[in-house]
Amino acid sequence: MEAVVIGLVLGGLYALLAQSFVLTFITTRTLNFAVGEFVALGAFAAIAVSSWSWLPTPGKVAVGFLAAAVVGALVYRFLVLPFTTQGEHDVRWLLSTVAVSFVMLNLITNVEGPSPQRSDTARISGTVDILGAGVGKQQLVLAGLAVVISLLLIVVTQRTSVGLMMRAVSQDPDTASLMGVSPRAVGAASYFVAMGLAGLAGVLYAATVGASPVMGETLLVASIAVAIVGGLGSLWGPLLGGALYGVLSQVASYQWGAIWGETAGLLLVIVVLVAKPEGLLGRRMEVKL
Amino acid sequence: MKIWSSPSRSAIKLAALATTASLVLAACGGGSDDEASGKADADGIITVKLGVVGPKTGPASLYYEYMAQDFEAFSDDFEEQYGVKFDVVSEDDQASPEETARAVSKLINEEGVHAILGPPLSGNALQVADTVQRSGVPWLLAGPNADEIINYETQPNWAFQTNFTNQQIMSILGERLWADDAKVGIVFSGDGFGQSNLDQLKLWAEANGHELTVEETIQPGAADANAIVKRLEDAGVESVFMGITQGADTATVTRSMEQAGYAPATVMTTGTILTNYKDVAEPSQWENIQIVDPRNFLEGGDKWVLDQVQEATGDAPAIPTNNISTYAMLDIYAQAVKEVGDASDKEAVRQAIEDIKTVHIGPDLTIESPFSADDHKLYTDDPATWFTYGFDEDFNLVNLGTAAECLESGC
Repeated sequence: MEAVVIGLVLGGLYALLAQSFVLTFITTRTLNFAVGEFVALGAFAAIAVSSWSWLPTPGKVAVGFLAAAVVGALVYRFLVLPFTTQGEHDVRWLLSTVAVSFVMLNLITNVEGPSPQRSDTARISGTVDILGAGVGKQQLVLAGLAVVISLLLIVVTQRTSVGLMMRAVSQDPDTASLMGVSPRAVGAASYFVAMGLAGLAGVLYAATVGASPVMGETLLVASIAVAIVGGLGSLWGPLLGGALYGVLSQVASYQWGAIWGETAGLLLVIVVLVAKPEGLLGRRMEVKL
Repeated sequence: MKIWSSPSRSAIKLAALATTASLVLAACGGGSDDEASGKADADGIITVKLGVVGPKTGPASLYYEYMAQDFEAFSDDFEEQYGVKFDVVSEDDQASPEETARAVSKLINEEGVHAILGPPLSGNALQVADTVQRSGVPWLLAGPNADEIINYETQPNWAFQTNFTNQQIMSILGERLWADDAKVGIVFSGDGFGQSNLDQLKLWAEANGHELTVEETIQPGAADANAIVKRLEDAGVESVFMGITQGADTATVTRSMEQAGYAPATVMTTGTILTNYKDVAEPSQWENIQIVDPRNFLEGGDKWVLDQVQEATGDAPAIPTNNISTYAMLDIYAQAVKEVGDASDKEAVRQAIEDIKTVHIGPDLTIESPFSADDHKLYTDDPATWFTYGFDEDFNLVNLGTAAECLESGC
């Protein structure tokens, strides 16, 4: 039971980052492989304002969100959008987002140094006992936040006019454009929110492990795996994928050692890709020729 | 007792350090090849072309920074003391085996360096061990701890280690860990350093009739170590050794220990905890941790080196253990070059290193005749010469006595 509880909590962190992938994929059919660096950017932005005593903690967390969000929107406009102009088969954005990852990593390292820095913003110390498992309160907040944000995104996409525009762009950007909806604006907004979420995760995660340029890199593989398992086309997907990946990797780690944990999670990805390539909650896209 | 202040966190200071370090290395390394002939000039100064390999960029760049700090702090001292000037030719190995192989090859074949300092990471050093040995260039290993890097069956051997080795630390720690027939577990990082720790601990255990109860690996940057801790706890492990390269990963383990309420009687690790640990851990997580090291960080020559680095660079020593071992190595090499009078006579310089009488660490610490043909390690595994340290609430080191004393009466 302990492995299950810890796995679910850890899965929450991965789910929060996986939501970044899902959001951009739904609206722009692109993935930002620099998400890990946006995690670090959010964390360091929060540290940069941590000495501003007049700004309450939620404000500092918001700075972390906004810094990553604004840079995310700019990256979409100038480094993703120009490389998606030649139709669905234009995947130059793959290279440009990987390049963004390298550039951001080096910039952050040069400015902040390679060592982890302590972050007390939104730090919650202590552990709670859940079904016999000691769980860090900080981790619990991250997991809870993943659930709340996922539900919020689902409500927004299904019940609001903004969501309607997102769904329209997702299904047919050309027709949505004819109806007065700007796919570019929707894409930029998606990147704004998605990278903001990565920054938010960075602020909260840094309170546990410290902020470092590579803090997001180690989460990247698991987050992509979670997004694929749940389905890149479903906002529910990260929650299910995170739970499955987290529990499976923890149970494997408990049973056979830590080295098998990540391996088990990645084996799950392979199984899902073989059995249901669109992900467990993704919908198969059929194209009429 | 505080021995050196916490590193500055401001971006400006870091940028200033990076710039200063670059300028120092550029100044040292930017000299013309003509100047670095390895022979004495008109003023009697011997300029040595010293190849320096390490991760200048990337997440492990602290392992390059400590060398840059030492050059910044001590280059003038060595020139004044021995008449030897270091013309540094630095190569970035990006902490990867492939880049290390490229960097070492370039230094040997294209730059024609007189000696090579680095790489600092055991795994990368292992990767190029044969290459350097074949090249016949004095190999100054101030960072890596893996014993496997030096193959004494190949003579004459060109590599020298001024850090302690993993075999040595296991000799010191073994009896402590297995005291009262305790069950022992190891958590080691998934790299050359961690693997060497595991191998040497197992060898010691086997040779002394013990068994390692649990072996767990932690990947760099792991998000948690709950499963690792749970497996240690379930196996009834009472003594834990952490052979982990990065202090931040050590913090992940101790955080999970606290979270699980797991408090083994003995928790030992190495000086790597002095890097990257404090800022991401809490006092309650380090209160039971002890380290052993052959250096006295709190007084004498070892402390002097650390203080000088702090004073010269304005920042804390990047990796205190390696700052000291690099100083010792540069002292050894500079003495050898001075004695031979020609750095390009590598065979003679290698022999002079092997025959060195006195190694100086700071003004008042000396180590006598440390090397022989089949022993290129600066330190020994005599517990009476090793120190055991704990930590106070502010993570300042507390000397608990020699390793021998701690074995006898507990610490």
